[in-house]
Amino acid sequence: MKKTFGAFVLTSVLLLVACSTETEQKEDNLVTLQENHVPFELAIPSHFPDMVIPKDNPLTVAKVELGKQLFFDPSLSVDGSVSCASCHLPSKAFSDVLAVSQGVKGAVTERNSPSLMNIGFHPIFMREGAVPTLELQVLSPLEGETEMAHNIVLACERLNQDSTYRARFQEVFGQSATPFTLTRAIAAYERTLIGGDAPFDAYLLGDSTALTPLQQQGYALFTSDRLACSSCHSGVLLSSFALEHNGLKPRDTDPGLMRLTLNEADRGKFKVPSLRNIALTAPYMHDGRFASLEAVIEHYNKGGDGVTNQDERIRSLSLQEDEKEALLAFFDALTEASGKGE
Amino acid sequence: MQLKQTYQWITGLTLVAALVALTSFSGCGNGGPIDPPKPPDVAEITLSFDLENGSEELAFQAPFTDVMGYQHRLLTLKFYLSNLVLVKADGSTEEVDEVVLFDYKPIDPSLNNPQWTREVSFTLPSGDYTGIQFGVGIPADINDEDPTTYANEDPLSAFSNMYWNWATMYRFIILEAESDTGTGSFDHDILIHTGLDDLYRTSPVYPISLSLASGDQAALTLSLDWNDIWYAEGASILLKEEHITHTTDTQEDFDLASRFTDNFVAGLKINQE
Ligand code: HEC
Ligand code: HEC
Repeated sequence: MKKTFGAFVLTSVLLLVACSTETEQKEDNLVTLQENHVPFELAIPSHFPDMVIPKDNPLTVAKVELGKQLFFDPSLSVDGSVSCASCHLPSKAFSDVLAVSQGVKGAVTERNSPSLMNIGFHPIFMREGAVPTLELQVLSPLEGETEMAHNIVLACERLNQDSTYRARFQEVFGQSATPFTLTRAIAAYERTLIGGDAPFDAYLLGDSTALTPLQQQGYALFTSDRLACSSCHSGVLLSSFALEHNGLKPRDTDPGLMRLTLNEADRGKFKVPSLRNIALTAPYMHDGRFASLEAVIEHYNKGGDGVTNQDERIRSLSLQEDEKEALLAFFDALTEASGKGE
Repeated sequence: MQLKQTYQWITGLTLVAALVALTSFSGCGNGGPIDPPKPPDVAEITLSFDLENGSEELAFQAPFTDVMGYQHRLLTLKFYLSNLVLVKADGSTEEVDEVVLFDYKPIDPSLNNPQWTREVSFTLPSGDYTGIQFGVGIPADINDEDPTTYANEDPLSAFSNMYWNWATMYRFIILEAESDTGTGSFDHDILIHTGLDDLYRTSPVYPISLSLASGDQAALTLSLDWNDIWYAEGASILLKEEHITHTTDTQEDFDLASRFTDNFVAGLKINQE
């Protein structure tokens, strides 16, 4: 049906062109619609990768604005109590301060809420990486029993009862709120959450004074063969976005990637998180088991929990105190101004 | 996906109209009459689904006792059939629907949302048909589609509640019931959600014998005995212990979903009225 819908739009446009006298009114509408569609220019830092924008969801100023409004609107949850921002706090690089987040009526999710800064650059979503687009990802919290516990069609019906929302959706999409338009608007907003203004970025762009000597020592350690952190936390986004086992003993209730593949060799594998804004996003790991970055460093220093499937790069490091300090200092250099809600 | 066909038809018409409009540009709005399309030469088949307990038809939510002496109340039974084809006498096939969804729950008149039922109908060219065949579940090539791109009434839309959001795939069969397995109360939940490409199954070709002239209406019934799902020879499910699976998570979950699926598909029968 998707394909035929495209053809339908095309033929309608052809019709508009052909039968100009009869359809002047409609054509006018089309023109106004297009005028409203001012493209949104993403401010992608020069050292960042390109962002893939799905063809069916071009960014426009009005769409991004609508997506932002929706992201912060608790009326998307079944009882009107929880918005996306309840678990993705702007001041915490759009992550949560709780080990595992809380949804409607105090329901507890099974995982820690990840940061959404720079999320538009990720190729896969969720901790087992099964979701391929930001658009599809919206369904998960919206309908998740422990998150917003709503049904997307009912959520759209509720939005359409609000005359302001109805007008905004009409303006942006030329139609009301639907599962399609709702997910497109929110995803469009999420793609604008771009940082790239951390001291680390200035350093990468050539300002050698942007990192303190201790931070530079930390960066060197991070990328060293001995620690090999950057073999998983690689590139400017500090993630390979692969599914890896970093030596955490998995909890029985969350086998990670194995949940999807049913392959024992995937038990305990999770998406490698970006370490941008890491100083803001405590607690850490998929279940928020570590309250501090000190605890994370201890985990890697001891060589992980020594469990099956643990990656061979996770091995005892015998870090000196000053090396731990240096790593912590480096983490501080990864904080983006926009990650603090500035 | 009746709707899909309707859309294609509308799109087809629009295309024709657009072409006519373009080729006779000056005639727009005041052109001569256009020949209406000829009514197509088609017949209609209704396929309805019955869940049975032995010889009696099961009513939604009404308690019944199965052959093991367990009592159950059916709370949900929804499943997809796909690539539904009718086989012609010469062995060629006619695809009548890409995806249909059966929902055992009676229509709730208080809701004005799209709802699915135990019955689907489709049109097909008139002719002689000797068999029917379908897949149970959603084939891999459409299992990764985006449900938000389908109209609400489409069985593949998010509204059918068959989509597995975290895994971005469709569930194939959802069966939920509450049971009394000997405790004297309905305190035992049955909750079976199947999915994953590995559990897509294709049915055998069920023999039928239909000679359909243009405008004819025929009815077929798809039936399944509750006891065949659980107590199949050599693949029985110990309902007391094996009653919950989401297919993924653990190997045991998958094994149960897999046995359930095989029994379910093997138990399906086609009856011609
Ligand atoms: C109840 C708390 C909660 C709410 C509400 C919530 N999220 Fe999340 N979010 C989470 C958790 C927990 C995860 C990690 C889930 C997982 O991996 O299984 C997550 C993951 C994500 C991811 C994937 C991040 C990644 O790195 O892969 C995105 C994107 C996201 N959420 C966006 C949203 C949007 C958009 C909304 C609103 C429609 C929303 N969230 C509402 C808690 C929440
Ligand atoms: C084999 C790949 C791999 C290597 C090597 C690795 N990590 Fe990780 N790291 C991961 C994965 C996977 C996670 C997420 C685990 C989870 O979600 O439970 C993670 C999580 C983290 C986190 C927490 C992120 C968050 O948002 O919760 C930090 C901090 C971190 N790693 C730092 C390091 C440091 C420092 C090193 C080097 C000493 C290192 N990592 C080496 C794969 C790796």
